[in-house]
Amino acid sequence: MTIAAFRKTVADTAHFCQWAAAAPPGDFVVYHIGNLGRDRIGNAALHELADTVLLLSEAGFVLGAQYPIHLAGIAGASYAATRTGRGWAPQSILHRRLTAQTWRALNAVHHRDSWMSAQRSIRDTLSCPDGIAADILCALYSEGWVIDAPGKGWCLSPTGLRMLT
Amino acid sequence: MSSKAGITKALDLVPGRCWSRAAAWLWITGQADGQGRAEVSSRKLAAQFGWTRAKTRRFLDRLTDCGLIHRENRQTGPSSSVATICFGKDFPVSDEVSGPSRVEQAPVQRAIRAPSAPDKRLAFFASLVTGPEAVPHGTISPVMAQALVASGAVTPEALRKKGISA
Repeated sequence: MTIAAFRKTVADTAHFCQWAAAAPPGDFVVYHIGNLGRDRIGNAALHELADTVLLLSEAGFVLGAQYPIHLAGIAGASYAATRTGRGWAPQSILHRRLTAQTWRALNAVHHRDSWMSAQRSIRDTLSCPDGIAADILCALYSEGWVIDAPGKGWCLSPTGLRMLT
Repeated sequence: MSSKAGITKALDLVPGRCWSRAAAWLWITGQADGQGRAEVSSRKLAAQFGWTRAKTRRFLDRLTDCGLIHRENRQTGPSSSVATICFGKDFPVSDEVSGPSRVEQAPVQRAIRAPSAPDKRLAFFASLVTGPEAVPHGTISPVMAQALVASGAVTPEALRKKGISA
């Protein structure tokens, strides 16, 4: 591992997506150093970045890992993402047309069970209160990504389906 | 929660363990009815506070001497009696029986029940923003504010006027 490899970091979600779209298999990037669980509280940019890494790692596009740092005065870990060379990544995420959270909400609405309401599927997926889930569904509706299909409840519009891929 | 249960929970008091005199006084005041009277027996008080009956009696004597309570003893058996404790005017009685006349209650804010269907929900919150009345803080989440602007139902200026950040 070279010094140059250690230096490869990303500052925000846009930078990470740019890297992920062009990275060859095996390439890796450090996206945070510290305590991610604690540091992301109140830091919206870091929260979005970590959420995006998690989404792409769930899709198998990158491999997320954390390495403990044992240096004097530093108690934490370095958080790295490695390009796997397999898996897939939604183009809407890589091109920053959607945030990871919005993509998850759309995915939850699209792949929910037939007996489950759209609001409830968003609530369960994002672990948020009912009111916020209803507001997120409103946001998807206002963007035209969710429509009311007669007899089927709320489902994704053709535009919403395109955003999901 | 009743005032008695509230006191024991707030002070982490366990009946039967040795209580402090301050905790015992708080507990006794929590027993008062609407007229500032509480009917207690020294045996039950001793069991509640984890004290001996002699210590309980001395405590009640001291409260009486200090003018905090007046006692009206009533014999209920050969070795037991019930004391009705009358509190002085300076001490609050249980608010669950005294009602709002003693405690100034904050006005209860009516909960806003918004529809859950997206189209109706957007229209509902848009009417709140464009309406003449003030929108309580926290009623409209940032996500909803963005949705309102994105749908064109309200303008960012209208949100700003109501003190809502999109």
